[in-house]
Amino acid sequence: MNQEDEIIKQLKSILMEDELKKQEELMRQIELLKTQLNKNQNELRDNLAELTQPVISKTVQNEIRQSQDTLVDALQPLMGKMVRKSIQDEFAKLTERIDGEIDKTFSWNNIKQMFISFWEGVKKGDLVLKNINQMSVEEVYVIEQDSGLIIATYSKGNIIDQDLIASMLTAIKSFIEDAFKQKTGHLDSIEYDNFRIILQNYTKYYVAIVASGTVSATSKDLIIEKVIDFAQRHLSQSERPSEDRLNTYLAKYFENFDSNINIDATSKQKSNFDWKFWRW
Amino acid sequence: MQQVNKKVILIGNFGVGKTSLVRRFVHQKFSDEYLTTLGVKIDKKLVELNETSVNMLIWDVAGEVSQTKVPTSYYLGAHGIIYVFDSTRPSTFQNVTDDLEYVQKLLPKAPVCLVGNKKDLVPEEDLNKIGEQLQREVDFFTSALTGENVEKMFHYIALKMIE
Repeated sequence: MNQEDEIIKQLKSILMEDELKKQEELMRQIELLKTQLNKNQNELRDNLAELTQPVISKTVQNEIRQSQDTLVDALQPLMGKMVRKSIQDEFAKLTERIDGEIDKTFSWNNIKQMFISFWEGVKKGDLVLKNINQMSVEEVYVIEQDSGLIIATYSKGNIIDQDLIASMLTAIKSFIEDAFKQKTGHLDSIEYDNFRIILQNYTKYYVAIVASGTVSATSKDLIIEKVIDFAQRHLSQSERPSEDRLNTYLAKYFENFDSNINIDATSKQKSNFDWKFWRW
Repeated sequence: MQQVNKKVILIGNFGVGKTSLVRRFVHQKFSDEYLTTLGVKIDKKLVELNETSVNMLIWDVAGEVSQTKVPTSYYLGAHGIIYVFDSTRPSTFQNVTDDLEYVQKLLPKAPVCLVGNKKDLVPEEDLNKIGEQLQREVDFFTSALTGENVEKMFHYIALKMIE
């Protein structure tokens, strides 16, 4: 039996010599490939960030370039708020410095003015203006930049044709911006008699606020803050809400605005009062 | 009924009757007194179609179509274009192709309606000749004086805009 096995084994080795060699060669190549593969895998793991970075950054750059408008719309309200806040802070500092200088003035007239100003809690000039003519937001329009079509409106009186007003405002704005060849500048406000139309611009739309009465710098700031907040909450979304829904939101924002704004404006001015007066 | 707002621009040379067409369509009036439009004049009219009412904001842009004389921004955002020429004055339809090419570059998606106005002053056979002269079909020959085809023309553009 053992002899038979030996013979078969020899026979096998003679007959299958080529196949065995091939098998060995194949095994050797598989081992080589395995080593190469492991090496490549390790290299890829180590250099993944370096290798993919150019492709990813190119894709992100393209994506940003293609959706510039959406990005600007999303960022603009935030940036506007930040810039506005920073400018307001600087103005507050400037006012403090000016008030400091005024404090140094020893005149009975000045003392009298300051006393009245202190008693009312507002600056003398603003106080006089405020009492003469209180500010009121009459109409608010959110308008598409190019077509001039209305996106949303809030109106106290509904006395005018809002579609025509929005279109005409757009035409006036376009005319002025074209006439002065301003690619980046925008028309900020229009004044007529007792009315002031404040325009707040965004890429795809702009907001027009029709205010009557005396619009002080502080009141204007508060209006714009309100508009920025509205734009940030309701207009920066990728899918804009329906016109009816936007009208409701807009009404909520501006219904009780007049009574609040006059209190807010006064309290803002009050905070600028320098208590050093009493020490003097 | 669903309501949509659409901006339509009326363009064409001076004195072709753009303002008269709007006056006829919106106010059902006609006046032969000529007052040139300065800048732009805006009117609106609600056009009721089968299931949609189209609130048309019509921008009647003062004469000329040239890019140097009319602020481009008047055209922007328009959903429909009505190009009007005077059927009695060949000079007003000589540049139709170039003018429309320029406006369509700005508004590639907006449908165009080519209109020959003052139909009442031109015999029918001459109107056919104008059609042959131009490289594109005239959609309507209208008369702001008699009101012929005016309503039809505005309904046509309203329909095209919501298609």
